[in-house]
Amino acid sequence: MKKITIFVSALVFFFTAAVNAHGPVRAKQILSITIKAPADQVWEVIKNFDDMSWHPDIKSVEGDGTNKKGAVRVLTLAGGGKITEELKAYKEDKKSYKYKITDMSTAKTIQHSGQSEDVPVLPVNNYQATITVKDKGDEAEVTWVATYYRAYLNNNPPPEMDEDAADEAVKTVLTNGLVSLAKKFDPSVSESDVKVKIKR
Amino acid sequence: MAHLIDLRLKKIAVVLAAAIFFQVDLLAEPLAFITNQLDNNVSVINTSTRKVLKNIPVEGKPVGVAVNNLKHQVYISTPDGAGFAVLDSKKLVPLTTVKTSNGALGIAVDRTGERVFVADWYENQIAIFGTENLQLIKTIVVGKSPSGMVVSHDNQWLYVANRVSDSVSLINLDNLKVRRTIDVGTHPFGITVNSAGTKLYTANVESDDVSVVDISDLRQPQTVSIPVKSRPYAVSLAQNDTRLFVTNQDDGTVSVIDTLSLKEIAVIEVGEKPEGISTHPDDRQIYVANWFDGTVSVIDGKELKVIATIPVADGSRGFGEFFTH
Repeated sequence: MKKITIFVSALVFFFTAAVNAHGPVRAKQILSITIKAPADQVWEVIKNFDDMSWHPDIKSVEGDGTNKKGAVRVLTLAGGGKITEELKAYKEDKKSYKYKITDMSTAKTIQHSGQSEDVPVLPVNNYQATITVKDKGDEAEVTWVATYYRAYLNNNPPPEMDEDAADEAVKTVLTNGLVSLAKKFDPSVSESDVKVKIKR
Repeated sequence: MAHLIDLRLKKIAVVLAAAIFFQVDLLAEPLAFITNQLDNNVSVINTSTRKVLKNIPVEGKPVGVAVNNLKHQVYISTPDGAGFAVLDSKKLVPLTTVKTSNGALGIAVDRTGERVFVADWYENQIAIFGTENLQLIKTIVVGKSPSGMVVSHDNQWLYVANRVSDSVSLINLDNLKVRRTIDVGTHPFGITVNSAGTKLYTANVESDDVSVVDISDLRQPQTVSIPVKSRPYAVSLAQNDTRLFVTNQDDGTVSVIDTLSLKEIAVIEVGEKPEGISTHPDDRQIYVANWFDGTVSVIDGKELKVIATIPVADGSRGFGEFFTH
């Protein structure tokens, strides 16, 4: 009898250990591109918080016309869906601003572990990002750094809401933005010019 | 001849000065040990020069930190390594690693340097190890997802913030039993206690506030909440316990609370995603690890402003009391 008990608790232990090994961990994704144009000119294109006409994945933006901390913009995505973002910091002198996603529409609802789960349009949670233009003489370096968790906050995420889904979605939207921005100055730019680093 | 002696003396003086300088540089205390989660190392900061002396490699996404001043050891929790690493705080080298369980996160050491406590946020328990032989003494079940911990200055109590249970467990360190559990705000993460052992402070991530729990009468604890900024992470007291400093992760700031009036008296801008926070043994400087920036902000706790920013490494977290003294 004793032996069985030990065996069972060992099983329970290993099972929980395996399940728990994958709790959500905050990720940091760093993307950058060097553009052959003065930093001031590049900043001019992106500097207004409620203007994202330079980004091909975003159809329209509603904002209040200010670049003050607390300003809110609502993005309507080209592929459908809405993302609401709040301006957290704005530094004109450093050509940089920081924002946070405060709300997202649902892309689809899936069944997972016997429950309905809403997958947001960007499958992430607690997303915050900073975009910065650095003066490199004749060139400008644009860095876009995002930090986020995967969308599913419990253990054992469905594939639509796991780490890979989050990383891939963020990488795609930031890469498309940087390439499109760079192309305004240099049409020869392609995706391979974007440097991507993902840390977790 | 006189000239030669003079030269020799000069040489000796130079060598001596160099030796002294080297000693001071390496052993200058207090040192700050900052875990860098994304770079798998621990930055050791000389707090006199405010420079990194060394980055000690620690695998397993180091997060939590606890300093054993009496045994000259530093314990670093490694959630990805399912345990903790032990560092030598004099030689600045890793000594060994200890396996605990998968969610090893919060870590603390008792005031006599005899026991180290590791909170496991999946297993809902605290594992207690002896520092002499690093053997498990006991595990104690607490609330769900225990995270931050602090030991009372008289070494009688271990206080544990239970993140998912929205509570604090009070563990009696004589009999290693939970004496009682007190409700606080939503998702308490970091926790600290005043030196008199009468007040607990928790940073509540989801309710954007700090709970102040008066535990002078354990039968009737009184809790007050003080609003701070977005997603507070950890807390530290300074200036004779008159001021409480709170890192606001999503606001890039530190809130300063006057512990007498229980009001937020200042909000200091630091780096991005400020997390771990500790007060220097001078009771005046407060160090804040900025996760997103990979830097440490040094706050003057009297003037309430940032006086230095020290680059460390990526994902700096420093969750725990990280100074030697």
